[in-house]
Amino acid sequence: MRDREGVDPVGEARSFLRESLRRQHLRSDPALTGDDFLRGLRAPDMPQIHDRNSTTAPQSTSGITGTEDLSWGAAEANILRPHRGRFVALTGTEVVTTGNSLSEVFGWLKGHDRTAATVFRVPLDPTVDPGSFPE
Amino acid sequence: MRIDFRALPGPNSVIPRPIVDVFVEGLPRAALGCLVDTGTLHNRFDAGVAREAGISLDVPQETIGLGGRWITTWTVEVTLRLGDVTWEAPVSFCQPWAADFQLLGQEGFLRWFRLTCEVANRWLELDPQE
Repeated sequence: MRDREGVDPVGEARSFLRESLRRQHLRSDPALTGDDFLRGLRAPDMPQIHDRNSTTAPQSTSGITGTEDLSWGAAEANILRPHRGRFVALTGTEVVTTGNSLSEVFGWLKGHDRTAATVFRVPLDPTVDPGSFPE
Repeated sequence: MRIDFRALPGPNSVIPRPIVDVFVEGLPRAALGCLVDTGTLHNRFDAGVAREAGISLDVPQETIGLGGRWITTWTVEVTLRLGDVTWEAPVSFCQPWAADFQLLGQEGFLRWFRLTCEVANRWLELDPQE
């Protein structure tokens, strides 16, 4: 249906919608649309938090996409990797001390008159959510 | 303040998590790695933190469900600090405690800050609420 000036408002609206969807698709992260998986590049334990069929996830504005993104945080994570399952006291990239308990780590800091930026236990599997139900 | 997600080692990859380092009264030597958990109502910490910090848990205990198990908690008001921001909020100290990080929840943490979370770029921003 066209108005007096020959414009089809319904058709225009449909075109606008189609274009919006196309742009949205282009914005989506290849890692989330499964392209990396199809290229055989997906890490086996990549976070499974996103519906891989979705095309609406926002892309990183840093310009890092797809396979490049897999290297994010690798240096920092590799510092922690030998200590999985143990408590660490960490300052920047320095592991100040490690222990089997919070008490052991804080005891060491006190005994050596040291401080650290943070103390936590390095997860054995960081993909596990704290609210998830154990089997 | 803008805080990058912490990169944690997965079995074969890197997992980003929104972790912030919060000081607890009585433990000046190091902050505690805490997960910003918008799904948690209250702050939940390991009861071992209270023992280390000398925080008295001489209050009535409660039993709550957390992570699919029943847990004993003691909730007390504690002074916490993140960067330059200090606030007092209830913390439920829990036993047993299986999580790797302490949990910062809505009432004891997010009520005090305006949270912006940009997962695509792996950072969060916390602005103190006036």
